[in-house]
Amino acid sequence: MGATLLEVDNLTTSFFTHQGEVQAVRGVNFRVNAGEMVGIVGESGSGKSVTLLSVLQLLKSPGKTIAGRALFKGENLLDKNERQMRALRGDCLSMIFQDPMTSLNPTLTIGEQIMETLRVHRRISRKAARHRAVELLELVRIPSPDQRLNAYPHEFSGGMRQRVMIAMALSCDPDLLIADEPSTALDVTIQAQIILLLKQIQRELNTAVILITHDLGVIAEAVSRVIVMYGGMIMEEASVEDIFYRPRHPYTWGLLASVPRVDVEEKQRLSPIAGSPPDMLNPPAGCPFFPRCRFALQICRLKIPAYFSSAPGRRSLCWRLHPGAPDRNRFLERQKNYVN
Amino acid sequence: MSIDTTPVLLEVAGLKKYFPVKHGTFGRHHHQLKAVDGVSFGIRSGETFGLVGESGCGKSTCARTIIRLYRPTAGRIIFEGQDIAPLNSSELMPVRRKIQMIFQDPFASLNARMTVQDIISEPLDIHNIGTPAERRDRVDGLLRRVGLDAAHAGRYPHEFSGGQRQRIGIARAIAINPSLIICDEPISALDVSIQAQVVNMLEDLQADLGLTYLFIAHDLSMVKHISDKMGVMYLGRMVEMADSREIYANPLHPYTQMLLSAIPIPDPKKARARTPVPMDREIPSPLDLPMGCRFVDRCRQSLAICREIEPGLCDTGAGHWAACHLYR
Repeated sequence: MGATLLEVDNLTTSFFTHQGEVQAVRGVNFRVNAGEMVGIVGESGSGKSVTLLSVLQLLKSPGKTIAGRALFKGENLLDKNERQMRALRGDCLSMIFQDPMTSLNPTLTIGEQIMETLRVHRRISRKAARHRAVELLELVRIPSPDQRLNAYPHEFSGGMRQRVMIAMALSCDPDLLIADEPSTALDVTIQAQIILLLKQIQRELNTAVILITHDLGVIAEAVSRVIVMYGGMIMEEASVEDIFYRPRHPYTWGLLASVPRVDVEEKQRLSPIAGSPPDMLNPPAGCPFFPRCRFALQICRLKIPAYFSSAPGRRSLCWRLHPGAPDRNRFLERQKNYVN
Repeated sequence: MSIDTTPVLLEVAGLKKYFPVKHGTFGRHHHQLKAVDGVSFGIRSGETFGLVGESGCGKSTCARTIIRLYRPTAGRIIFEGQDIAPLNSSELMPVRRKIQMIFQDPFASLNARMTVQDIISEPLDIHNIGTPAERRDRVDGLLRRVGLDAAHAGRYPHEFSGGQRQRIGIARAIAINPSLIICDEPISALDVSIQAQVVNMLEDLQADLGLTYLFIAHDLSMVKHISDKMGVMYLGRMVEMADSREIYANPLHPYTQMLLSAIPIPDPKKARARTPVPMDREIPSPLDLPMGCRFVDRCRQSLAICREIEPGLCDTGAGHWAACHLYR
């Protein structure tokens, strides 16, 4: 595993709306190493997208990052001004979004859009840029790239457009690619191809990838390390095997038990998490998951839990894991009920 | 296999729905978009039939034609023994009381300017059921039935979350005691933890009220979970139809095999042990279909005959139907 590429420290972001302060991200810490693929999983409103938008300074008003640092190769991105950020975004840091149609300019050909990124960051001739653009389309497995460069976005299908977005994001050999729900708007067969493509790119080019998704299946397929977010906080972080086979947080248990499994023969009833996600305008004073948690203690209501770690690289935000918590071992045994 | 004697509630035979598409200057060139092109299936009373396929395969058009939001181009829709395909709107009124629909988007499918009370009692008003006081009681009961607080009947849709709005949509659908409910992607817009809540509620309602569901979704794992039987659609055609478990255990059509191999499995070891899905061509335009089998360009097992003759759906044994030359 490579050196630390991105280190996010105590990141706090809120949206200042007419109703009040929506606390979208509340003190998030995590690291991404060079060349690794990390997944951030969470439901809508968990803060997973806002975290990365804050890191890239792409938040729109009324969103504002109030505190924290985001060290990329040792430099704090949150100290940089818009001009400096623009030089970085699309160069060593790239992002792709869920909807490839709204992220592409419908009035320019695919080739012009890829070449634009290259010419802004690399100051190369049109001819060299065109040559590179063909290479990039080959890299993302678009057939007959030479002709496709002259096509407009509307002439491409959804999956092909997402490939073009990935090609653009890769144009300057970024160290870090942030993919925000890249396959969510696509059909299942196309989704599988896009995830496969991201995995191949991560391996071939040694690009670090942060994959943001709500789909546990995509997480299991693609990433090596998982961050589970809820209510603007990281609930659990662990290797992909630990998250799926040895999770320690009741929210992760709830997520795993909510999804039906095609690979399991007999029909089982789903066990949903009761209740609904917290209102981030008035988040609970204690653990954000406390109102829906079946294992909540008195302290969970009052005080935000600390992280408890059972091994290097894994941590869970839950009072039940405190060494002095009542019935700690019995609690941990409950894990078996949620894991297949 | 024992013979199922439960009566068939809905039988669709050779259903077609074509849309005219205009091309060229002043729309001089007319084409037909064959959204649903000869689909047949039956649903027994109390059963859930799942319809899956990629976007554009015609599954939603099929549902909307069955509930007669569209006039079918051809085919029969036999509901409780009566062909409802040729009926006009006044003849359809009594039928519509028995077939209700739940939509995908809980934000767009509720009128933002009506209270929850009005939304849920609207079908009762239309069909002239009960006195105003009885309707109010009925709405209270329905709200409790779908797990909402009856005291919230005076609120507007924007005051509810997505999952709660979908519950309101379900309460509206069951208000007039329908026998068939068409669920068109009822959970795709919801979060994972809320999806499971809604699916469990649909299962409970089915058990308690004896409902029959036509369940449409692109999430194959959820369709497998909820349906007894299912059909796989591709470009307006039914390509495979069988017992849900049978389809997953033993998929016959190469398209079904491809779909199933693409489902992400939430289990890292199993997910990584699978062979990756090979690069495939994408779906052809429904306006420009290939000769013969519609799947031929993406199929890795295609034969010479597949480019000439379109295979029909035929029984391969034990009620497992497939439209593929490999199984003739």
